[in-house]
Amino acid sequence: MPADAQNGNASKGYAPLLIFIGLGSVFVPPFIIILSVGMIPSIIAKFANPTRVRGTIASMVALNLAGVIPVMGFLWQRGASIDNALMLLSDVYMWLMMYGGAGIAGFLLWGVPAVVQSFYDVQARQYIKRLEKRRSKMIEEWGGQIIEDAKVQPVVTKNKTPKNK
Amino acid sequence: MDNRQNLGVLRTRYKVLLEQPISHMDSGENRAYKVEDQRDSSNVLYALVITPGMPFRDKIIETLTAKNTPGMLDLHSHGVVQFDAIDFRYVFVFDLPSGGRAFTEGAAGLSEQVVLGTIVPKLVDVIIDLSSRKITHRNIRAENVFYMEAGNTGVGLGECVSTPAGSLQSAVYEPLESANALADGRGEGTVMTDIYALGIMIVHMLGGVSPGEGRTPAELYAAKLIHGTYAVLVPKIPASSRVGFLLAGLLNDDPSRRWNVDVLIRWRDGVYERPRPGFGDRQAPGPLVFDDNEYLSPRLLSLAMTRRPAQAYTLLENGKVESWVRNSLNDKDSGARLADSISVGRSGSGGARRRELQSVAKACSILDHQGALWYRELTFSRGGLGGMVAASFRKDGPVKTAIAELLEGGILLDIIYSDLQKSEGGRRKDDSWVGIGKATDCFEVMEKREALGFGLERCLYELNAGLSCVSPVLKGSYVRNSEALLDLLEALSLKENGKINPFDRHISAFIVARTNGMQKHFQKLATIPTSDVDYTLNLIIILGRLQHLLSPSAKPGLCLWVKSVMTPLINKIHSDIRREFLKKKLDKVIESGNIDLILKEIDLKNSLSRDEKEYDQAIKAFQAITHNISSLENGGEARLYAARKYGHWIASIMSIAALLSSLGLSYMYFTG
Repeated sequence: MPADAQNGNASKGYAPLLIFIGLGSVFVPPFIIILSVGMIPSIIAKFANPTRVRGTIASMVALNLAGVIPVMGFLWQRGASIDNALMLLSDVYMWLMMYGGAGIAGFLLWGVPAVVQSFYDVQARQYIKRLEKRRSKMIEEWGGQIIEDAKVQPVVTKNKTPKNK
Repeated sequence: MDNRQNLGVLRTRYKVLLEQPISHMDSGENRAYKVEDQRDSSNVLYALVITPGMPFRDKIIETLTAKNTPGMLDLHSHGVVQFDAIDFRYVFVFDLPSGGRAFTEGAAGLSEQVVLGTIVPKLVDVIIDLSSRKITHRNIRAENVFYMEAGNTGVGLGECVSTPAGSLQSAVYEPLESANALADGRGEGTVMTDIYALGIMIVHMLGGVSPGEGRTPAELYAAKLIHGTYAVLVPKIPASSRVGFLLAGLLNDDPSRRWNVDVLIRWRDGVYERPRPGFGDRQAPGPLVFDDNEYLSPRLLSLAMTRRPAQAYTLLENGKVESWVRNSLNDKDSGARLADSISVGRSGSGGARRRELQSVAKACSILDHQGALWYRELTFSRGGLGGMVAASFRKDGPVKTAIAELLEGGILLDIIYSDLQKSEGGRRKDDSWVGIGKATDCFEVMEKREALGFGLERCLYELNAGLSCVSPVLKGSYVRNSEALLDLLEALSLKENGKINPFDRHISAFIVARTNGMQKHFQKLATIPTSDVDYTLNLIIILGRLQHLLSPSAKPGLCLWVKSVMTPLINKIHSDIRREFLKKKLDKVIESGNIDLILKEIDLKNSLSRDEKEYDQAIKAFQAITHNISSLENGGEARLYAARKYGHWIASIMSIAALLSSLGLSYMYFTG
């Protein structure tokens, strides 16, 4: 039952999109052609999302769409016909514009977490250094016995390290 | 006294020459040395140096020195002499009799003329003189009579103060009241004891050999009980009727029938009486059979019972002794008290064997209420327990165990109460083997016998008011009171760099016994486990209190000891900073020599408790730090996950921003 409900929710989520595509195909087919072809990377990303992390599809769709919108602007400027749409699709720069956006999205989704992780690692190393310095100071003040006694006494788990006495 | 010129000198006058011993004048364990009188070189003197732990007769010294006693070696002076920085001894200085001893054992007996004409009148004078001052000599014997000058002139009776009363006497010299007691437990006795000894001395001098030679003290005692001293000893010596009458008067075993001082005065003045000699102990009309022997005398029965206590207890349990005393001796009072002694055996303290012994001891004390009190290996006369306890510490052995058992079991109190209930001559007795107050004190201190300041050591000092502290720490040095003790401990500690124990069992007991108000401190100490920090701190507090009360001068030596016991406590402090700070402070403050100040400045208890609290907090902090380091070191996965999540969020924000920019720019480009 939960699986059915999930499927139901998914289909409900896609419904406006399908309605939009259906209506677009009837009233503005050239735009729908450009949109359909230009958004292929997002569609692929939707179905082949390896990490299932929230936000990745949104990034992909947003940047992909950012690349498609100017192409649709050109179509609107040249006249919204299927010929013009096909002509634009035959232009490699248009493809570059649409898929370049998706490429940039992919790069961001790979690169930004890596940068953030590096930042976290540096921060953790600095924090460990500070803690080790404090531990050394405590050993200096209370003697090596504190290492043994700390092992023997029951550990009081606290997320925060107590401030200096 | 630190002046080197005064070392070895008593009262700046009598120089004791330790390098010139006079062994023939030794008195028991006390050694004799030549003395140089620095004010009058014509005086020929000798000194008796008291051996450590010897309870000399300090109670009679003042009376004895108040007035010269003709016929006795003159006691010129007495007191503590310092021989080096830590060697103090108690010394008595007497005239040295240059004529030697009046009687030598093994040589022929003296003539009746010499004994009765020269020696006895002098000794009678001494006895009369001492009796008028209500003191006893207790050292009248043939070997203790000297000629003061060469040519057998000037009879002088030897000293009587350097050892416990009667302890140097042969057993034969002791009357029935103390003949059965151990040498150190014979007690002060009365003038009648001296009179009896005078009689024995006459027999000894006339006979030339020790009276009763060849018999053990117990055999002599038994023989005296059966036949009477006169019948046992006098027929064996060549004696005229004059001597016979004198000895019959002096050697009567019943003190009430023995010649007293008045009769002696009359005898001295030439009025001779014809006394009837005594015939031993009272006899019952019917015998009591014990251990296959028939007994008519209760004191003999008592003696036999002490030799076989297990059989004696059976006899007591059967009620035979009680009925014999009631019916044959017609002594209902003693009979009732004997019945009570059985209950001691049934309900007393300790194991069955111990209860039996206690029961027999009580029964014997009733049967022989005039004689020595018996308990296992211990026998002592009235007033003799103090000397016995002191002797038991000088020579460890079963007697010490017996004394401890007697005092801690409450049996001594029981015997004393029972003895005091007895009425003599229509009035209740007011004295017993030990004063009731002292016995109660000893019973109480034996209850906490394991604690410092209590136990048998405390009894030793309570029962011997003039005894020096016999702690091995003092190395035999004499101290009379806590003030002297403190000063000596200071000197010793300074010499040993603080490595002494100023609170061993003897020193603690001595302090409590000799210092008012110290009992409560040691009582508190008794409640604290010895491993506790408070225990050591309380010892230091006691020492500080003693310094404050008795000897407020600087005590750098004792402060070194304080440092030595405080340092391990300071080492218990976990904080290196605080520990080093306190050590430096201690080093500085001990220079003051003030123990109270050390306690105040160091405030160790407070420092320790603060350190303990802070150390607990430090351990928690240390655990948290270790935990955090470990979490961070092992947190790569978590950081990766967080980085992805945050990175994708940033990417999506950037994407949406790009989308909005694309929309805006496209709108402006294509419509503009």
